Amino acid sequence: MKLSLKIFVFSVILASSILLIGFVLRSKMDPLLMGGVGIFLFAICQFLFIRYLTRGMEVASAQLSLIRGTKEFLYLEGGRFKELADLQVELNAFSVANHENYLSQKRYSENLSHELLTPLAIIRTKAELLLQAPDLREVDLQHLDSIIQTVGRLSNLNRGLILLSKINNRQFVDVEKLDIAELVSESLENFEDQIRKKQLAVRVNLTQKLQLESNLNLMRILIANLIKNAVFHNIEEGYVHIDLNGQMLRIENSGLPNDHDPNLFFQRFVSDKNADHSIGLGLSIVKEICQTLGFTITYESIDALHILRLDFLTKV
Amino acid sequence: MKLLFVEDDQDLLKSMLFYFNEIGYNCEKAKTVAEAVEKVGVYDYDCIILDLVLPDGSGLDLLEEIKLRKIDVGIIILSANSNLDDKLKGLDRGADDYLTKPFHLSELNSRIKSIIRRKKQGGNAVITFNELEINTDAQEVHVNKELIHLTKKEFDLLLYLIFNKNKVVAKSSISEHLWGDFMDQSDSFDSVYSHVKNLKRKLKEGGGQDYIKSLYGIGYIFKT
Repeated sequence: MKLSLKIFVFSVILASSILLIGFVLRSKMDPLLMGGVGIFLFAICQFLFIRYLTRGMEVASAQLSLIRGTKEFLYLEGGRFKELADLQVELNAFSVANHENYLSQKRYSENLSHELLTPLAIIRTKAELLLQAPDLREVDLQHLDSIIQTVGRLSNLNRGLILLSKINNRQFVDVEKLDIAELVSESLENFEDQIRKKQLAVRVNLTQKLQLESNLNLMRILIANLIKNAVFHNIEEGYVHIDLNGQMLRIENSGLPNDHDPNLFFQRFVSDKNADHSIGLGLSIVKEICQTLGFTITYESIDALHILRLDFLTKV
Repeated sequence: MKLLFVEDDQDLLKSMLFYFNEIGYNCEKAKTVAEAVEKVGVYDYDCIILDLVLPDGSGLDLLEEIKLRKIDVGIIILSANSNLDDKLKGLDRGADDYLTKPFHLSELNSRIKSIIRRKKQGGNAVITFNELEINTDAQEVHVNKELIHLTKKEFDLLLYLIFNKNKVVAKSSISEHLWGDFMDQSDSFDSVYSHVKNLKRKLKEGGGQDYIKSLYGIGYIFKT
C-alpha cells in the first residue's frame, strides 16, 4: 500500500477510535481537557506509527554505510509501504550493478597489468641491445638511458599495481611466526646507502621483542615500505627514529612540511612532488596490507615532523 | 654451450636470440610446448629458458616431460605472471630459477651462467680471470693471490659485471640486481655509481687492471 494511503487509513481509524472513547466518557470529563488528551494520544500514536513505517529506511542507510568502500553488495528487504519496497528493489539492483562494475574493473586492471609485462620486456631488451651498438654518441646514449629508465618506472608501477591486486585477492595466505624486530633490522640494511648519502641520524630502539603469527612476504613489504618512506621523504642530515614496543612500531622522521591532507596520505598516486619519479603506490600498498592483516596504521604530521604508528594488536 | 628459448612472442624471442648468439651461445628456439618437447627429445641443451604461458599449453607441462625422461638440463622459467604459486610450482617441478618479465638481458645472462656453472663444473666455486680470482662460495676476491676486502654489494657487482663481460650493462640492471625490485631505480643510481667507484679503486689498489669502464655513467662494461 502507498504511504499516503496507509497514513490516511491509519489516521481515520485512530481519529474514530479517539472520538468513540470520547463519546463513551463524554459526561464525566471537562470537554476541553478531553480534547487535549485526545490530541496528545493522537500525536503519540501517529509518531509510533511513522517510526514503524520508516524503520526500513534506517536499516537501509545503516547497511549502505556498512558496505561503502567494501567489496560487498546490498540486499535489502521488508519495506513496510510500497514506495520504500520499490526503492529497496532499485537500490538492490543498483548495488549489484555496482558490484559487477567493480569486478569487471578489477579484472580489467589485472589483465592489463599482466598484458603489459611482455611489451615492457620487449622494449627493455631492445634498448639493451641498442646499448651494445658501437660508436654511439653520448647524446644517443642519453636518449637510450631515458628510455631504459622510463621502462623501469613503468614496470615498477605495474609491479605495484599487480601486488595491490594480489593483496586484494587475498593471495598471501601462509602464516608463520615472525620476529618484527628482526624484520626491521633486516630491512634497514637495504637502505644503508641512502641513509649514508643523506647523512641521516638513525636511532633504533628494538629492545622489546614482538612476535606475531603473520604472512612473511606481506610483512616484509609492509616494513620495507614504511622505512623507505621515512628515508626517502627525508631531508639532508635529518633523522629517523624507530621504536618497537610489545604492540606498536613507531617511525618518526624529519622531512618537509606536508601540504597534503593527511587523509589522502594512503591514497594511490598522491606522491611527494619533491621526490622525483616516485611512483606513489608505496603507502596504498601499506594500507592494503594493514587491512588484510588486520593492523591499524595512523599517520600524523606536525610541521616538518612525520609520525607513522603501526599498531599490530588493536583491530580496527 | 647450447640454449633453448621457449617463448611465443616473436619480438622477445628475437631479442634473446640476438643477444645470446652474440655472446657465443648456440641458440635454438621453440614457440610451442609441442615443439619444445620434440627438440628436447632430440638435442642436448645446457639450459632451457622457458616461458610459462604458451599457445598450446603451460610451460609446466614441459617441465613434467623433462622430469619424466630424466633429462639433465638447467631450466629458467620466464614468465609474465609474477604469481608466487606458479613460481613454487615451477621450482617444485625441477626448474632451477625463475625470472619475471620485464627482465634485463644481462640479468638473464648472469642467471644462465650461474646455472651452467653449477651443473657443469660440479660446483667449482672459483672463477679465474687473469690476475683476478673470485671464490663464489667464500665470497672472496684475490688479486695476484692477495685477498682484497670487498663489501657484499661490491662483490655481487663484480660478479655481475664479470658474468656479463664485454657487454654494456645498464645501470638500472645493476640497480635491480643489487637491490631487488623494492627500490625505485632512480633512487639507487647514485649508489650504483659509488659502488662501481669503490670497486674500481679497490681492484686498482690490489694491483689489478682497470677492466671496468663507464659509459658516461649510463652503463658499465667489464672489458677484457
